[in-house]
Amino acid sequence: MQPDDATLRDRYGRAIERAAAAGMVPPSGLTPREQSSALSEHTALSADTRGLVRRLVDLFEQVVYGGRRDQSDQVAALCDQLADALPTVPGSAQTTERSRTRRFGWIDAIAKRVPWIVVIALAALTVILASLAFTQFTGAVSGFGGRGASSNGRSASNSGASLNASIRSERDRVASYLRAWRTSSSEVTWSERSVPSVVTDPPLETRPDEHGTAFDGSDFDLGTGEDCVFVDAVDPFDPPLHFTHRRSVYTAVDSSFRLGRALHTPGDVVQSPPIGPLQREWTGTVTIDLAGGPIRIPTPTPDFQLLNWSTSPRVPVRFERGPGDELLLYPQSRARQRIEMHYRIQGDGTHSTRAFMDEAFSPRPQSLPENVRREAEIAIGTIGGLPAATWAKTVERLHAYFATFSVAPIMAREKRSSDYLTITLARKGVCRHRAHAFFITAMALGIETRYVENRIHAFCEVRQPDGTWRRLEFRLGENEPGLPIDLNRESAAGLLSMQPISAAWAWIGVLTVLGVLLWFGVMSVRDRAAWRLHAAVRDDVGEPKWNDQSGRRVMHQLLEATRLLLESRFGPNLERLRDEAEPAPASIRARIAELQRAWNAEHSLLDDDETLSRTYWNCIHVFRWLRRRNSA
Amino acid sequence: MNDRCDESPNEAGALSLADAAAVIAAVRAEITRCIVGMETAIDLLLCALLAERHVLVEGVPGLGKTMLVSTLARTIGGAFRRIQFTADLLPADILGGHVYNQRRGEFTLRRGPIFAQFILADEINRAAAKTQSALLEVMQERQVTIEGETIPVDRPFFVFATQNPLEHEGVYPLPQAQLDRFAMRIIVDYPKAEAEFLILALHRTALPQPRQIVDTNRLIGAQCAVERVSASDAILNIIVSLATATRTRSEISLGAGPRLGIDLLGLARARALLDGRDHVIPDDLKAMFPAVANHRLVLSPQAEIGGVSTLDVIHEIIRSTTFV
Repeated sequence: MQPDDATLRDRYGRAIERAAAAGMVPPSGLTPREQSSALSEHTALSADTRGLVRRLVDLFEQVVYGGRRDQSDQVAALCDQLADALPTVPGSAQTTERSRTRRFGWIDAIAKRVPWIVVIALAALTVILASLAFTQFTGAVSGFGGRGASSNGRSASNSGASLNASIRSERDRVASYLRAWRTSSSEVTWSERSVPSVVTDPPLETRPDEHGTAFDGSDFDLGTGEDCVFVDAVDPFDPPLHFTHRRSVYTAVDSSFRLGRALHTPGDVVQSPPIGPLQREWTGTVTIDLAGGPIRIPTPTPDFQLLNWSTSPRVPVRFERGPGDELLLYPQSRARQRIEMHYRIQGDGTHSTRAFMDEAFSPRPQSLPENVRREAEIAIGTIGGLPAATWAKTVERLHAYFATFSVAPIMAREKRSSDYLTITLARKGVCRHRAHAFFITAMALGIETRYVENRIHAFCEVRQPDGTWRRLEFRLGENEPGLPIDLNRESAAGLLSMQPISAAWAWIGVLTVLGVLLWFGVMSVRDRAAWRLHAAVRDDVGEPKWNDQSGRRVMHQLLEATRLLLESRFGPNLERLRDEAEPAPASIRARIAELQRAWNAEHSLLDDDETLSRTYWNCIHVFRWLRRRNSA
Repeated sequence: MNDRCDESPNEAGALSLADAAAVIAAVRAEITRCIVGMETAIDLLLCALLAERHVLVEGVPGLGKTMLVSTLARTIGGAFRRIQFTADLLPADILGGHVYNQRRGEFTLRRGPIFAQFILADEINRAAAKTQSALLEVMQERQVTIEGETIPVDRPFFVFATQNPLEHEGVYPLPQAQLDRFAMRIIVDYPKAEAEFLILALHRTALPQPRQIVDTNRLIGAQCAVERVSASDAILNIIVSLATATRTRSEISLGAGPRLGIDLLGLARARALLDGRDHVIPDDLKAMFPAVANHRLVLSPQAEIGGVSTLDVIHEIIRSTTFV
């Protein structure tokens, strides 16, 4: 009996399958004629086999499509011959493809996620660069002139880990320190010495010439607008101190920002014990107009020992140490006369050069009026990075800020609520402005400070944690013999610019952590999907109740999880499902088709319980099949 | 279509397969003499001619669509009418209507341009839906009803519609149901460099005029010969599997209806005749399937957004179907 068309097509199909398994023809998509021509070109086949293929296809066409039933037997025989003639390669190409898929499936899964990671990394990089650029910009306009950039670069390498990298706002930190203080009250006499007023013209910075004379008579204090007569215009000391001798010392400030000093209690000891390892001697010569009251005698250092003195004409005098470590001369008589005094005085030679102490910073309560303290808080917040971890760093940073003022007119837009704040925020002023502003700010920060001035210069002294006083000079760029300047402009600029870098590092750290968390979150989406399905299968609790929202949510999650697993295994359109050497059983394919309809319907099909239940069991069975397949 | 062949075979002159193939080969030769560079489109058109199906031709302006159809019409000798579809075209402009003859005092029927053999409907997507459906009704029924009076159109009757795929403003795109009436959509593309050179060479000398090779009666005879090309059950199974594949793929939201299978069968038979065979083989199906199916499929939104085109899907279907 002649084999019918279906049988012939089956046998022909099986013969071609062997060729497809060997990779000679694609498994589907070609007509018999095309298969014949493809196999005819295959050099792996012998000429006989190729001829056989051609004969078979010709005959096959005539019988199956042309209706010539008498040749059916021959076609069947030729099919069997072809099946025998084709090489038996046991589908190796397909299995290696599958194992490669399985082994590198996770790489494919990551590769699909790569664009997201790239996007996140680029966004993080943009934010970091923007914050760095912003802080660099604000650092650059702080008035360093042309050397800001290079010094920032150098100081960044010096800053190291000793910087305070706190992220809390400066004002909160400072405010918490300030709240812990007790205000101490002390009797203060208020002098007429007011705060240097805001100048609109560049102030004249009086400077000594080489011979040591500064003035030849009167001078006009631009700050106070008063005439002042300088009697002693020269440096009274030998060796010269270049106008850094101490004459008047102020230790307090009132609510109008005026400087004041405490009342002197007579009977203080004049001499102080030697402090530093380097003791120096100076001789001083001053001309004094006695008028019955105390006279302030210039001293080189706060700790001094008056070794010897003589007056001409000889008058009886008494010396006392003032509350600011000044030397006070009390004449014994009330007669008015001019005398000249020579004196020999010894003091600590490291008063201006001793290193700052490196211990941890702890503020000492300093008495300040409330409004002054408020303004000082603003200034401290603006400077930033205060207080630092150590005492040395705190003082250096504060000093660097005030030492880098520029000498320029203050603009109208720079005016603030007080002259102190104007000067501090505009960073403009000469020595008396800088010292006055530093004095207030340091007191607010908890550093015991004194404002020290003589006829033509002003500076500050800070009390170190060991109780000794250290001079702070606010002129820059000069190295005077005998008095090395503490900071030059570059290192000062470097100290001030260290703080923004820490913010950038904090940004980098935060964003890196976020990026890592996102990476892990994104990467394990597929694993989480598998876990969810695995839990549902393992617990085998049966279907959830569909009449409440949590059950439907579970269903949606399972649907998404199944879809994710299937897509990662078989490609985005499940095309590899058809190419696999072991095809899925028909029941599984039907289930997957149903699930595809559920995916494409965007869950609108999942409204009635029966569909939900069926979809649930489809997911479970598909997952079980996947698990068996992966473990097989 | 079959009724004419059965009723009066001698009058229509049903040809043998060899004669029919010879007729069409002669037509083909004449057309390729006048038109250069559109071989695939010409082959598809001739298959449509044999199967008496309507064709939608798509392409940018200036590629020679009108010239192709007019050359075909002149080669065969049928009446050729060209209707330019505009936005204000009315059905009466196509079908005709009753006009009052004042001298005679009565209404006379004035036939519209549809009463011809080769109708070229230029830019069918520019006319309003009313006019489009009037034309498509005639394509389907092959008769015109004007105010209750039904008039059949002459045979053979072909409609070649053209549309410009680039226009998006001011067009009324054909709905899917109407697109289904066209058996195939031929997409005409720019000619290759050599072909363009030959076109210019033709224009440099005198442009060859097509001569009439056959008449409509021989064409009808050839169409009847197509009826005698056999298609086995295997071929029908392949057509069914192709049609099912268009409905079950995930990238397609609307697959093709049974009309796809019917048109594919008719056109495959025509192609088998052109090839000189008396039976259809799967290669005919594979060759005809893209043109027949590409306008009947609607992609799902995900596939469209993903950049998948209909042609990609069709090639995927072909790749995954067993053509045995």
